[in-house]
Amino acid sequence: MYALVDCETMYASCEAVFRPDLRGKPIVVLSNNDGCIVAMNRAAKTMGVPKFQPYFKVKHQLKKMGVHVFSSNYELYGDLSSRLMNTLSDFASDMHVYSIDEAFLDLTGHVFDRRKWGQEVIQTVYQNLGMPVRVGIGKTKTLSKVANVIAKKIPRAKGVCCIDDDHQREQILKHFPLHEVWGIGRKLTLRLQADGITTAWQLAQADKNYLRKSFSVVVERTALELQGTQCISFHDEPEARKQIVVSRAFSQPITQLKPLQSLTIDYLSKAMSKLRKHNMLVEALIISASSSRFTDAYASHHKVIKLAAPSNDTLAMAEKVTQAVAQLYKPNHKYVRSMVCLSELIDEGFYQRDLLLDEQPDRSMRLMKVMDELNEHSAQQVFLGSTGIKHDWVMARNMKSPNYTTSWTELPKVRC
Amino acid sequence: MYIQYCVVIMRLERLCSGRQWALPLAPSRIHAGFPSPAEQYQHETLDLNELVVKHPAATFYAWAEGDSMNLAGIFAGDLLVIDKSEEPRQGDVVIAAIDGELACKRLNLKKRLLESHSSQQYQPIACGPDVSIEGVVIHSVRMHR
Repeated sequence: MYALVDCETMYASCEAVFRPDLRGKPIVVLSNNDGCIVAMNRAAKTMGVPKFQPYFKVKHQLKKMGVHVFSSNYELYGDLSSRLMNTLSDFASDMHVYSIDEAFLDLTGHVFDRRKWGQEVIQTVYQNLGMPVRVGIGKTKTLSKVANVIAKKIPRAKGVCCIDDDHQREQILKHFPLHEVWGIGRKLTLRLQADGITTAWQLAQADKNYLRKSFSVVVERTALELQGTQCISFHDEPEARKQIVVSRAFSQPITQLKPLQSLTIDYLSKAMSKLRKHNMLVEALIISASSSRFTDAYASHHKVIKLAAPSNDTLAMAEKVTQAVAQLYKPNHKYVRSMVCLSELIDEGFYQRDLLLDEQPDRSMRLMKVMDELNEHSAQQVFLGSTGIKHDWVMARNMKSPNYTTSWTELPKVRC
Repeated sequence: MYIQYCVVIMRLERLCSGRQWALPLAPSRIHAGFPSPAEQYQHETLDLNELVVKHPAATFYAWAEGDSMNLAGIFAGDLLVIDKSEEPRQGDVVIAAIDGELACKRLNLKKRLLESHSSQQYQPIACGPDVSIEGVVIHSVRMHR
């Protein structure tokens, strides 16, 4: 049996942990540069605050509604997330952290009252961290995901749903929307519906050969998982990472080439360090810069870079990206966002060296390692000169809460 | 010698960054000739966290303001170490949310009151439904300089 524990509105919940005055009040959190609403708590949801709306469009409406608005505070969310995972790890023999706010726990071999166990998880996390979590329990990872959604939707579940008998599984899956099944997105839902499969139960019952042939192995696996047959092993993610994207809006429009290059190189550095963290090499990059979608002059320019040999070298990539940006750049355009997408990734371990190719020397691999280590351990970051020394245009986080847990000067103040 | 110098610098940096409080138990000297028989014991360091933090995931810090707990030895500017996983007991110094504000008081479970402990006069606060106990103050740190 597996459990999926997640914090329903993680970012918004984090904002209220050190602000008791905000509990139960509507809270929204904005994306980088205060671009749009990315998270909101239940109170905001019930008030009808629209998600994924550009902030400037709803700013006045939010103010009138009395909604508390925050810029994203990743230091705070990151710290509380690691505390959450730490707390959860005490509850099971094995854990797989799936994202910043959710983790799978392995309950294999435990003989106990699973619903009671779920309630204990909820109470402990709430007491230790002040964050509300939900628990879904099922025979497979896909079923525990289903159970987690049910735990959220049905108030009388009190935050815990355990799918442990076949009759109950049938009842739940018959009413479970297809697009909410883990691994089945909106697009697949439409294709499945066209073939007459409209509920999760029908998907579970469908002929597996047919699913594999008409759709994919992933859909077949999902159907088997819904039936209680374990196909996704505990530490596996259903699909391996195929690309790394770093894309951010600028705090103000950019018309000059130089700052556009600097920023794009900065995004590249972030993407490359992520790449190295996953022990991967990149074979192709897509660079793009675009103007605002909310103006008539919307335009997006991009450039694809194909590499002769796979690499994880930020320095070498920076040279290529600087050129690419110069090529895609058009004067008199107001760029508001750029993107670096590392596509065609390969596992470093599986890569066969080719002596005929112009390969990345060992020396640069070592240099990258040193750079990553320095950046991990010290506050003064090592970065490329081409990203510019003054990063003042990088991010607007005007409504950011203090780093309550990661900075001595920003700790909460307590009245004695 | 250079390496030892680096180790000292790294320790100092960690110390200053506040992430890790590791102090070498014995300050290592640079030897020439025979290795000291004490060498093998020098890896041990005292980590203040060990003493102060019992549940790292549930421990938070806050700065104290005001004088309502001065007889309990808590003064303005002190660092409070708060363990949220501890069950509050009679007489504990706790952090409570009162009217949406975080406050530090002594918990009188028997009378269901939050009391001050001060040379000044303060009214005790009843533990009503609008008051929640947020955590137990298990240590406070005085900055003498």
